[in-house]
Amino acid sequence: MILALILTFCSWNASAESLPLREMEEIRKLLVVTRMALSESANLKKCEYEGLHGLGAQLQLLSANFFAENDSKKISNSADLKILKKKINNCIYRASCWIYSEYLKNDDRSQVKALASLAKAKNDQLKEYHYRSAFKKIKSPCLFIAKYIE
Amino acid sequence: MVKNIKIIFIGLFLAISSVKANPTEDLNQTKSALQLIAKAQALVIAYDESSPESQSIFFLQLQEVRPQLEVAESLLESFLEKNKPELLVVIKEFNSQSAIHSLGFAHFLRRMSYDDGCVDCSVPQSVMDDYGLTFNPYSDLEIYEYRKSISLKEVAASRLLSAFKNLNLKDSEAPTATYDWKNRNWIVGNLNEGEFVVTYDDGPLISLTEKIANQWIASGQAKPAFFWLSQNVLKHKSLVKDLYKKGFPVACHSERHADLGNLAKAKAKSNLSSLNKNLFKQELEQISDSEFAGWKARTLNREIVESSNTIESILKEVDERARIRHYRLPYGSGVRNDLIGNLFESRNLDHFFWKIDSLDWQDSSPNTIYDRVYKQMSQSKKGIILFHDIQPPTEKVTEKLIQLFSSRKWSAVSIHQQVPN
Repeated sequence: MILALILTFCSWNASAESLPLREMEEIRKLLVVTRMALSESANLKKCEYEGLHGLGAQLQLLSANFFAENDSKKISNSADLKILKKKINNCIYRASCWIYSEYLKNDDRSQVKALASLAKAKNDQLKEYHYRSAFKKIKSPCLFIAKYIE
Repeated sequence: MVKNIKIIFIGLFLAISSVKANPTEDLNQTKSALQLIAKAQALVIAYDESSPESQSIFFLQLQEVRPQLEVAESLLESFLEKNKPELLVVIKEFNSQSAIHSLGFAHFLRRMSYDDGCVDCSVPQSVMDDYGLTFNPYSDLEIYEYRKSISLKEVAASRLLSAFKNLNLKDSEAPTATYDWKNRNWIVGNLNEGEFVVTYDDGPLISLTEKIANQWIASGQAKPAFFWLSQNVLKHKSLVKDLYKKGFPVACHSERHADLGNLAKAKAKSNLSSLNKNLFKQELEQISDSEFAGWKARTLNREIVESSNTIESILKEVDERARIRHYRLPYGSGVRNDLIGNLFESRNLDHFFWKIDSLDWQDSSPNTIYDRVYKQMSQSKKGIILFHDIQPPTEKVTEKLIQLFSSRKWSAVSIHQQVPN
């Protein structure tokens, strides 16, 4: 009970962070599933959806809207920077480097530029098997992409 | 913010469940979660099955429940892990089959409330009422059949789909459709096996488009088509005219790469996506809500008809017979929309979607881009290939693709072979 209440209380403190992490995670998942749908479609055969080739367009649209929405917000405090640093360190494993690289690329602050550069370098290292590995960890991919299938 | 809500929700859930051993409260929370999941799935199906005009209504409703959906799914899993682990395994397997099956979650919930199994379990009445479900898609017998590894997908899907088809989803404001989307939206087209139409979007970009074009000229292969933005064409008129003279098919990709599907569906400024709000910011500031419909019609006309006319007028400086007959919607957004279709019809445009997506805008490695394209070509055997002549890796990928076509296993064909210009 006490542990649970502490967790609840801590979550209020965590509200200082302003990063749109849920939206980033949505883009990451769509990116991973899209790359699998295009390169290794057998992985999504069980979905039996028509129009998997259109997922790339949906990903591009989701990303374009996300970056349009967040272009002026960006990182507002050191807590954000800390979270991003940690996420970029793990981005190869989660195949998420591209999102952070794009999100940070227009911020001129030196600390942020260094992070953006790191994310870009890691994105360049990503291979298809990283996406495959990340794909395996996505729960119910068919359910996830149902809303993106035209 | 949503993440915080999620953490708070889970925290509260743990706090409540640690106080009491009685699972009734858990069950009530889980019941709410299940109803939300069922609602979301009903909306997904309704969206898929509705007319383009009505789709926007369901899409907006879906957007509203999406933030809560993840929380609901976490709650459900926590509950099942604790109380019915064997059921969780079955549900996961069931759910992996199709989004449609998630409606069965509600059915499982009802089953859980009976110790000896449920004689007449059904989707919660409220969900059935809200979404016009007049049947029980999962009877106990069917569930047992499923557990014997007999798939019920076709049965469940056909029942759900026929139910949604019976709903009156037509929007009274929907325009009368005139455009033949079925036959004029090209994805594979009438190509023969082994034939591919290569296309490049978003240019021209002075530093890259010419290099790509020169590779194709040197190869002697059928030339690819360029789907350009009229705002870029106006900046590089001499390049555009030069490449047209050299035989490259030129097509239109709108004026400024807006989300035209979203624009066509919007009924007010507030319905516009972030992307469109940014792109049209200055214009939107100068119109009131009552002027929105007129502005929308003018803007769609400008992005489709006028941008095509602009490019065509530049080509006519070289060749009086030049015509723009091919168009690609930015993001492929707006396909099957009747407002957009009517503009295509009036301007006599064919829409070119694609079958093979390079994702060259997202991937910085020419090798992985090429591999992805090659795999899709191997699988599709024919179709339209999408690249962007504003993305640096595309130059190198083009080189490799031309080598592939030179090996004569497959061939590049002109877009004019599909729709004569």
